[in-house]
Amino acid sequence: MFDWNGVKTKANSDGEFGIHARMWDSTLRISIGDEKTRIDIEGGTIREIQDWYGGGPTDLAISASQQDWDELLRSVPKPFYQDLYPASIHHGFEITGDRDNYCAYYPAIRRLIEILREVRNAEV
Amino acid sequence: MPRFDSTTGRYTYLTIEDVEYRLYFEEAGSGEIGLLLQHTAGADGRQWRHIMEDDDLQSKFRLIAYDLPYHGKSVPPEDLRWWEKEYRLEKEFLMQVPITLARALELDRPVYMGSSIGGHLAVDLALHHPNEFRAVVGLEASAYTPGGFVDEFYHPKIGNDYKGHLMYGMMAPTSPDALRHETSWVYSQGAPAVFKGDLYYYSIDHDVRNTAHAINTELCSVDILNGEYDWSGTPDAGEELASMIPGARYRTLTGLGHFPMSENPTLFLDQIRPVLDDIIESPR
Repeated sequence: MFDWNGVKTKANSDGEFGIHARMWDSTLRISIGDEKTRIDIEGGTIREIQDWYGGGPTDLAISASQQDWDELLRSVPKPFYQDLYPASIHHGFEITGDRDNYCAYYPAIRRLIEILREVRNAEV
Repeated sequence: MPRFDSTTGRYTYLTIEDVEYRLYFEEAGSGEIGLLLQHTAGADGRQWRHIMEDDDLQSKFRLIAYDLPYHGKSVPPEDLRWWEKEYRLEKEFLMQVPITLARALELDRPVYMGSSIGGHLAVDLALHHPNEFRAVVGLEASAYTPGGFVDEFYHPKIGNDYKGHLMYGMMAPTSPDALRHETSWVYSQGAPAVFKGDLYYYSIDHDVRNTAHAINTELCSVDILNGEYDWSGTPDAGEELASMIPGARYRTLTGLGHFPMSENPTLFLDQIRPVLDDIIESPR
């Protein structure tokens, strides 16, 4: 679905993401329908993005249907798809994992979603 | 030659519930009618800075944006040992702030406008103090908004960045980047306890589901306007609230979110101007 290499390159060169992701060591799992992706972050830098084969710890998992992701990543999202938080309250996004870590790095996650949106719409 | 805004700020002293507060407010305009501007939870009067500079509004109103006690430049009172008790904003106290300020500034039945907790407050003022204001405008208002008074908004492991960026996501994606970030920045500067404490009023103390019908809009008109992208004070919630109040008017703020006055003031002014003009033209 994504140019994940593009996401990694863009995030690691993005000033805003870099600031918010400072000192962040984490493994994220992104589930788009049945497609699962693992994002490994070390010291605020995305080290690797790969298909998720199961196993291993997950600090934070974000999952939704393909349709919900399509709405979230529109260049101009519809109401309550503009950000992950409202998309989890009003739509079908599920966020699981360590709550403190999620809150502490919400600014980075928020920016990462914007980067996904930018990469997605650059592909079209 | 230096370039100045026309807004000026100063302090006044208000006594509320037998405690004296040093309250900061900013003022602009030379109109006959006072227009009190209330900020959202956890923020301060800077949210109104663009609206304060509008020439048209300045010609019609005396615009006054104030910082609630414990917010912005309104430091906590000296006569309370406030640091020994977790901060909490309660309805009776909150209602007294604009009322006491309006009296101190000798405003004659001013118009009140506020967003979020300020939107809720508009309705509480119309319900409990209709003789103090000729009109109230509630932005991002609802009859009842449970669920906001939660520990993650005042947690030792979670910094103010979280609140600021959560608020970023309450704005319309089409609002200018710089103003969305400014709004978020202002949020990140509140004292750590204040946002959660304000949400005590927002989520618990404010509940007009069984009382909104008693508001007399002949005495004090009520306009409710909620942003299309506001996922907390949703358009549906605003419309439902207005339907509970006989004579209240409702409009959705198109292309705006929870912070219409600061996230996209140009678009907000386009939509609020006719509401304020209607208020001026209605004799009360």
